[in-house]
Amino acid sequence: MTENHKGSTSAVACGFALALAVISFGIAAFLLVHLQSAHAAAVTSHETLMDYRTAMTRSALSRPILPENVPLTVCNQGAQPAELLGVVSSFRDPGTSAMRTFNSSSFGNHSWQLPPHSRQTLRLEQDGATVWDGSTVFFALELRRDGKDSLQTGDASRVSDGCAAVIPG
Amino acid sequence: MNPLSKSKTPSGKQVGGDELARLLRVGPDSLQVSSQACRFGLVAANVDHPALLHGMASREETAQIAETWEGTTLESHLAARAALPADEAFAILRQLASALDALNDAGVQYLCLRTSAILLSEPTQVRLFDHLFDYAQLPPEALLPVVACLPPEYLAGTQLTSAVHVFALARIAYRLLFSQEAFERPSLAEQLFALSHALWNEEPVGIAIKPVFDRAFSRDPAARFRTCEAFFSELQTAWRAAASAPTRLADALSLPQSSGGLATARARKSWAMPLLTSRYALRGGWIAAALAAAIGLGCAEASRNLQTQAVQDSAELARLQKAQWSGASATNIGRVNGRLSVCNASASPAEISMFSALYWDDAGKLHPFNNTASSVVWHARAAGATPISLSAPDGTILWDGSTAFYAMVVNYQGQRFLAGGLWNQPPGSCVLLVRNGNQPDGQG
Repeated sequence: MTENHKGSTSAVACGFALALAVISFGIAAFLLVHLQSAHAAAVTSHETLMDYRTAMTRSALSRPILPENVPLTVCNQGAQPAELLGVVSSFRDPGTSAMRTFNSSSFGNHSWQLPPHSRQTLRLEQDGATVWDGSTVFFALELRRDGKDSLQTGDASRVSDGCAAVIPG
Repeated sequence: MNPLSKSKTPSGKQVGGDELARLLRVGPDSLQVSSQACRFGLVAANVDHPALLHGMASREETAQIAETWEGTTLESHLAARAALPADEAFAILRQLASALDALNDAGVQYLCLRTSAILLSEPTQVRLFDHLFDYAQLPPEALLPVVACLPPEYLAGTQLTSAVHVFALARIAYRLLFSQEAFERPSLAEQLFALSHALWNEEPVGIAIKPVFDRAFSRDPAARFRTCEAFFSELQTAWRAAASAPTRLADALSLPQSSGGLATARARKSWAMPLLTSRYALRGGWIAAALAAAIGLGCAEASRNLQTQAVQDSAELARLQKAQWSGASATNIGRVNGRLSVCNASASPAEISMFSALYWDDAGKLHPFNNTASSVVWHARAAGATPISLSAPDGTILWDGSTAFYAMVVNYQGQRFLAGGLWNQPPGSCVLLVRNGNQPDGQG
């Protein structure tokens, strides 16, 4: 092997190696820039999501806490009898804790008689099965008293002396 | 007759007395060889070899001068140079091996081969010069000055064989190739112990050459090489194999330095470097390319993961935004106000005669709203949506329709029914009072 041949072999090898390295690092640099762009987009997207979740969490924490179920006990404090034409009650399902709504009008024309100075815990059974056990968080009562109809709403946080709903005298 | 020798003293001259002493320079303890010596006719043994420059026992009075010859001892030669090139070393060893084998063939056992008894001339012509080769015939006390170069079998008092020459040549070879003594020790006692047990210094010797010296320095004379030529041949082969087949770049490049700057290794290095450079440059290029490819693949994979993550985050955000005002947000039901409207999908109008609602204020307290006092009646238009709210005649908003829970009595085509439930839907949603088939509904 001559010196010239050896020198040219060395130069070609070095040049090829250098070109290989330069091209490879060029591609790597391009991919690095792409990675940086993708990273910035991902960070923005993630921060937006996190901000939204944070806002939702703060909003959820600031929301009121629903009261627990109470039995819907209606107290007629008046001297006249009253008739309960219908009941709508939203209550927490004991199994799932999800809110459910009971509407007595969905089960026929069912009514409750409320004698004077009486209290009664409402519930509805049909064909031997309990349709509604009287639990309530929010309720609405359609009342008929002295021939006049009215609609009264209330919630479980206002139970007083065992009466969730009071028909005044 | 050696053609390279220079005749300053006529051959065949009988010398003796002071002239012989001047030529031989025999000292009281050891032989001192001058730069000028003479090749004498063989006295101690009838051996004629070009590498043997025989002298006489000092008790001899005269000698027949065969030739005159100039040179320096190997000892002074080594002292003047830091190291000896391998080619030169092997040239010396080859001639010594031949001379020692010739002595062996003549039945002479030369116990004490040493660098001070070897003469060199340029270029690398060797003469063994000693006043007496047959040291084995001398009483032990006469060998005290040269005891450090005796073979182990002599120290053990066993029978001497021709193997003493192999041992002696191996010591010279070791000295020439590795620039140190094979049995060098701090004290004479330790040196003799090392000689007796063949404890030679293995440190500078490569793994390929070590077996050759192991055999040559063996305590058992029968285990050594049969001749000095055999040892020389084996050593040269091992040396070349070690030098020409390095297993690492470091071996190839460090070999000349470790062995005293060998000319052949330097030459090998000179042509090997460009190839090594190109090979390693190419390898470096591939390594750089592989590194860059690994970085690129890593970047691509990371980009793909990031994009996937961004898409997932966006989808999650859209889902949450959609769920915020949908029934899917079950945890909000009853806990947030919706804006109540009623829809009538039938062709007939419906009337809301009584309405009551519960709504949350900004402080998180529930408030009831009831239209009983105002006697306001809402009419749900046929096939339309009616927002439910209440304003005073002066335009003041008494109740803006915020609703968490509602109940209403609806009159429709002479029928009366109670509707109610929870409400957390945004504006635009409505409670469907009557379906298109004139069926009362009252649910959101």
